[in-house]
Amino acid sequence: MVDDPGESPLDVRMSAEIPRLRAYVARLLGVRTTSPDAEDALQEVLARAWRYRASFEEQRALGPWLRSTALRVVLDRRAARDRAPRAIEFDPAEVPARASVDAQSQREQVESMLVPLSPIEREVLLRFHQREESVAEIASLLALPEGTVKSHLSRARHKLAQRKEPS
Amino acid sequence: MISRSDFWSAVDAELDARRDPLAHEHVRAWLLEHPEDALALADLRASLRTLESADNPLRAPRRSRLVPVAAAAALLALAALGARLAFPARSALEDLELHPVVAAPQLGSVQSWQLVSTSETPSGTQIVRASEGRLAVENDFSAAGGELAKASVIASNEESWSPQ
Repeated sequence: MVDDPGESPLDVRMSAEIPRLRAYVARLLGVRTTSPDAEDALQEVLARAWRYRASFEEQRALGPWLRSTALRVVLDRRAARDRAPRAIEFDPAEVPARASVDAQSQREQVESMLVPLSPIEREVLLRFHQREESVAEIASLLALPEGTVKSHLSRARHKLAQRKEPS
Repeated sequence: MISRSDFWSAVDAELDARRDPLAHEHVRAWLLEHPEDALALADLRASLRTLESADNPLRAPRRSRLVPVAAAAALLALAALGARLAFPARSALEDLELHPVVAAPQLGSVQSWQLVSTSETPSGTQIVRASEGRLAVENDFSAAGGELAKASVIASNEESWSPQ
């Protein structure tokens, strides 16, 4: 593609962005970069970017524009899947990226992600997301108001969201 | 237009309701306007998926599979012990009577028999001879004075005995 004499400058710039765009799409989808879902989404992002290339101003940075396009593609795919009849519950895109990682490695990941959390945040988060206890149940078990449980949950999630995931 | 704080509140509300935040209209609208938050939300969702699929550190440790096996073995041992106490073992003689392993001998074919038992001790020898209708005991001990003491006791159907 780069060596093609017929390529436009935008082609060349897009080709250079592909590795980072692939990683971004995979991260948005929560799958590995080598996953077929990441590849499908990447192709769709590139196709859509090319279709709407006229709206791209040459003096702008290409990366943010492509990532914005990628986000729209991921959200659209998500919305299309939500609208589709649920004939099959299993969706490969929903399989966690680290599903095949052995249990020991998974435990280590969980431990490392819980490090920045306070003990109460950790307990509330694990009870809600791992033991699938309701907010009311947790509040009753820990003798806390439901609002306090939700606050601890929110803070715990915010810390997880700020945590940099290895790509 | 919602604020970033509103965006995260909406994300929390969806997660509290166990719904996917990306299905929420305001969340999607915010992300399209602020793609920089998309990765944070993607990372949060990935972390929660990892958490949900991992072993639960809060869960009580699983009981070993050996526990039920050991319990079954203990029950069996107890049952065996109970049976043993309730039905004590028969003696070998009783067992032989109940379950003879050889046919009863035909006594008519035995012409004669004799049993001889010799016991040797430092002080002397005792010989017991038993046969049909006759029992003889011979003692051959050294006397205190160095003389040889010899005695025989014979018991038979004829009730006779002869000391020597």
